[in-house]
Amino acid sequence: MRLALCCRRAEMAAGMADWIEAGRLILIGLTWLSPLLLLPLLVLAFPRALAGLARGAASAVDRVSEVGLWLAAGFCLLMALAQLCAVALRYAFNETFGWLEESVTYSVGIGMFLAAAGALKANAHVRVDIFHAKLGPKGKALVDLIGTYVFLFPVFIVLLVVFAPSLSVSWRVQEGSMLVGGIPYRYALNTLMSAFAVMMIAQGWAEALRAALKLRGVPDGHAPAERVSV
Amino acid sequence: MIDSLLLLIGDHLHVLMLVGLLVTLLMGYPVALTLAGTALLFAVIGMSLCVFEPHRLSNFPLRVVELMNNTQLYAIPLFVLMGVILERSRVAEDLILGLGRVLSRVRGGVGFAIILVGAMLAASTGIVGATVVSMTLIALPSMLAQGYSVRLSTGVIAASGTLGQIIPPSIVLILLADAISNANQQASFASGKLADAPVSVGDLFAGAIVPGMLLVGLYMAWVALNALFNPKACPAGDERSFDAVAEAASVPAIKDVVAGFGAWRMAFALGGPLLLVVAVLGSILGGLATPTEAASVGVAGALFLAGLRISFDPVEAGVAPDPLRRVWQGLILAGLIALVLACALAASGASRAGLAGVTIAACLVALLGLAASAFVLGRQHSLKPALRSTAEITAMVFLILIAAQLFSIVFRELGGDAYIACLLDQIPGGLTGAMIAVMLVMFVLGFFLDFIEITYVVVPIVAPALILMGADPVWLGVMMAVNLQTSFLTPPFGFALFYLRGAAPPSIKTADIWAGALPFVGLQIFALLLVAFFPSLATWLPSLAG
Repeated sequence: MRLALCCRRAEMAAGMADWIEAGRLILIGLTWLSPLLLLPLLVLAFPRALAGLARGAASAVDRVSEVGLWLAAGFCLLMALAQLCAVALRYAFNETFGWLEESVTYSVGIGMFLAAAGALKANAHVRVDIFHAKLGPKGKALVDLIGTYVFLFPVFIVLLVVFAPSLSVSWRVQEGSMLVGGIPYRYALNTLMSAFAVMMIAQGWAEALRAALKLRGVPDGHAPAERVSV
Repeated sequence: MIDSLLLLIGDHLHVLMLVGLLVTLLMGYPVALTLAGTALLFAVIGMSLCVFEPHRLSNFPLRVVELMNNTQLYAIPLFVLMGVILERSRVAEDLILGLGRVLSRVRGGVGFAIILVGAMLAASTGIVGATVVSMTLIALPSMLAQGYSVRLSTGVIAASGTLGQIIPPSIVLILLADAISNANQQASFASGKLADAPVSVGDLFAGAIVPGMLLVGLYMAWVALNALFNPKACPAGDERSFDAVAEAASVPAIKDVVAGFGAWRMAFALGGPLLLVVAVLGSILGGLATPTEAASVGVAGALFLAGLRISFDPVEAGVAPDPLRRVWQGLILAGLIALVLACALAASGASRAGLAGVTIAACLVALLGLAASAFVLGRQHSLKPALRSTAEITAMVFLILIAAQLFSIVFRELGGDAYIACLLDQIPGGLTGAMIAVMLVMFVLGFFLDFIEITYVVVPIVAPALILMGADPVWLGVMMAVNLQTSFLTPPFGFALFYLRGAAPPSIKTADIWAGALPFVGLQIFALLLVAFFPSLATWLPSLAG
C-alpha cells in the first residue's frame, strides 16, 4: 500500500517535471505575443469598450494577491513561533529537530514569495520619489505602465524560463531536505518561486490595466494605498 | 568605425549599466523591479555585443534559493515583527511622555529625553519613520510651547530618529553584515589566503554599539552646550505644562495615556522596553544566541509587553469592555513568570537534569501567556495590521535582495567588479583615498536611494576591493552604517527630514527643519572621522566577543 503510494507520487512528480519542461517551451514562444499580457495596451486603445473587463480582471488578480499577502502574514507569526520553540528546545533540553528548523525556512520562503505581489498592490515597494512625487495621477500611471512592460514582465518571465529546468529536476528527484529529519518537500517550496513569478506578472498586469484606464481618464475603481516604511 | 564603437560600448557596458540604473531609478517605478529590469536590459545588450553569456542568467534562481536558505536573514522579519508590535502597543508614546515629564524641569531636558527615547526606540523598534513621526506628533508641540527654538527641536527629533539605523538590532546592520561577509569571502578567495573568521551579524551589532553610544553622547553634549550658552533655545518648564500640551496634541489616543500616568505606569513604560532591549542585545553580544534566535525571543517579549499594556490599560473608547479582562491579565502574568522560570532553569542546567518536567510545564504556561497576549492584541484590532505590515515590509526588503542578485550577476559578468577594483586602486592615497571616494558616493546615493539598495548594489561592488586593500570588514560595515545614517539626516533629501516635514504642523518652515538638522550632520561627520581615525571604536567590542 505504502509502496504503491510512493510509486504513484514518483509518477506524478515525473509527470509534473515533463509538464514544467513543456510549459517552459510554450512560455518562450508565446509570452511576448500573448494577447493577455498586451491587454493593458488594448485598453489604452479602446478604453470605453474594455473598461469593465479590465476592472474585473484587475480586481480578480487583486484578490489572489491579497490572499497571498495574508498567507505570508500568517506564516510570519508561525515563523516566530517555530523559531521560539527551536530556541527553547535547544537551550533548555539540548534538542534540535530538523523539521522545526526547516519549518522556519519554509515560513520565510512562503513569506518572501507570496507577499511580494500583495505588497506591489499595496504600493509597499519603495520608489525613488524625487520626481515621481511631483507627477500627477496620469504621469504616475504612465510610469507604472512603462515600468511593467520594460522591467516587471521581462524579469519575471526570464525567472520563470530560467528556473524551469532546475525546478523540473527538483520534481523529478523529489528534492528533499539536507537536514536529518527535515521536511522532505523542497520541490514544493521551490515551486513557490515560480508561483511568485506568476503572481508578480499577474499583479503587474493588473496594475498596468488600472494605469491604462487612468491614462484614458476612465475611473479604475481602486482606492490609492498608503505606503508603509521601515 | 561602427565596429570599434560597438567594441568600446561592449567594454564599458558596466559603467553604462550604472549610469543607466541611475536614470531609470529616477523614473520612480518600484526600485527592486527597476534594478532587476535594468540589469536584464543590459544583459540583453551584452548578449547582442557578445560580452554576456546567456547561460549566466541561470545562476539567478539558484542565488534566490540561497537567499532563502540564509538563516542570518531570518532575523529581518523577526525584528520587523518585534518593532511593529511594540509600535502598536504605543511604546513610543509612553516613553516620550514618561521621560519628557521627568526631564522637562531641567534646561534642555526635553531635548535629552528625546535623545534617550530615540536611542531606546532604536534598540527596540528600530523603525526610523515611525519614531520620527511619533516624536514629532507628541513631543514637538510640547517643546515649542515650552519655548524651545524650532531649529533645535526639529534637529533633535530628526537626529534621534535616525539612531534606529546605527543602534542594533537594525535592519541596515543585518543587511550590511550579509553583504560584507560575502565580500570578505570573495576578497580572501582573490588574495589566495584562507578567510579569517567570517563576519557575522552579531559582529556588526557589537561593532556598532560603541559608535552608536558615541553619537548619543555627542547629541547630548550638543543639547547641553545649548542649555549652557543659549538657554533661550531650550528653557526649563514644569511637568504640568508638558502634560497639558501633550494632551492638546493632535493625537487623540494620548489623552488616556496622560490620564493613567502613575508611578507604576512610569516604571512599566521605561522598564519594560529597557529589559527587553537588554535581554535581546545582551544575549547576542554575550554570544549566547544568534541574532535570529534572539529576535524570536524579542518577538515574544514584545508580545508580552503589548499584552500587559493593553490588558491593564484603562478601557479605550470604541472598544467594548472585555468581561474576561482579569483572565487575560492572569494568563499573561503567569506566562511571564513561567518564562522567567524556564530561562532560569535552562541557564542553571536543571532543565537537562532532574527538572525537565517542570521546565516543559513552564514553557507551556509561557506559550499560553503568549497566546493570551496575541488574543488581547487581536481584540484591539492590532494583531492583523501588525502582521500585515510585517509581511509587506519583509516582501519589500526581500524583493530588493532578489533583484540585487540579478544585478550583481550581470554587473560582474560584464567585468564591472574588476573595473571598480582597478578604479579604486588608481585613486591616490591608497585605502584612505579609496575610502573617502566610496564614502562620498554612498553619501550622495543615500539622498535618493534606500539603504537596502545601497547595501546590495554598492557594497558587493566596492567592499571586496577595499578589504583587499586592508580595510577591516567590521570597521568598514560600521563606517558605512554611520555614513548612510548621516546621509538620511542631510538636507534637502534626507529621509528623516521628509518624515518630520510630513508630521510637523504647516506653521513650521521647511527651511528651519533643514537648518536644525545641520549641526547634527556636523556631529555625524565628526563621529565618522573619529571612527575613521580610531578603528578600535568599532572593532574593540567584537574582538572581545569573538
